[in-house]
Amino acid sequence: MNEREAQVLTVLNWLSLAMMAVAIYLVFLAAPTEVTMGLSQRIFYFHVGSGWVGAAALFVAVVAGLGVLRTGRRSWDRLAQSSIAVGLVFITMIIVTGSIWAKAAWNTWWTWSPRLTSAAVMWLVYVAYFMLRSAVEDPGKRARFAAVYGMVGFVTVLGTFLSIRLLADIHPTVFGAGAADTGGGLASGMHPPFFFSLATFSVLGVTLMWHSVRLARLADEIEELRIRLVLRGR
Amino acid sequence: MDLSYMMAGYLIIWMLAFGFILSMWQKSRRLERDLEAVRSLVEQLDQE
Repeated sequence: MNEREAQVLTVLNWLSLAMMAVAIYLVFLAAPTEVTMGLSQRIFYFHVGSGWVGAAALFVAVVAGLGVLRTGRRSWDRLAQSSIAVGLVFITMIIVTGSIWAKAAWNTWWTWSPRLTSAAVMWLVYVAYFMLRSAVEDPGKRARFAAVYGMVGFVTVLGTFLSIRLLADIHPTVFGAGAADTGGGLASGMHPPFFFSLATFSVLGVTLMWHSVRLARLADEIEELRIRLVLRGR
Repeated sequence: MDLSYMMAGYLIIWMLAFGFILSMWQKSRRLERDLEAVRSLVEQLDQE
């Protein structure tokens, strides 16, 4: 890792930590309590933040997949793999926190509504990514297969996002058409904690992805050195 | 009741985030150790 990259990563680490502290303050102490759902509604601020970062990370995997197919460079494959790892952590957060919120709001941990079903399918598709990826031995083939899989898999992200907008669903729509009809929408006092949480999760997502890419690069460096050693008879 | 759901939600978020960070930190330490060991072997071979 070069010195410049180390400095930027240190800044990002501290920035993530500081922003998280402010976001926690805003969510727990500054945001108004929602009238119908009470305190459990505060899960929403980080739930949506997780969803945003998860979807953005999985979109990065699509771009990186295109990079793999166009150039065949290992650096694109590292980015795709890292962004899917980070995306998977965040979509796990959405599903688990959504389920906890559902218990408080709907009195059930899970219901097979279009949104929840599509989110479960999306999660399974990305868990399978790592299993299938590790089953391909040839590095070039593995990168190309993973690139195509990452791009096709993104259809499940779009499906999850659009499900509550296209199909009848118990899940509230927070923004856009139908927000008022589904119990969604935000009071003006909720805007600062909401947008600050989104920004915090964005910074955290970039930081984690960068660290993950750096580790993958380090692993490749070690592999190259090992090959050099083997070639020289050790 | 509301409070316990909220706390459970945030606890899960932080556990997942810290778990991921911890796994990356452990991987980073292991890789740096491996890198040092392999580098010193390469240097040793270069000198021979």
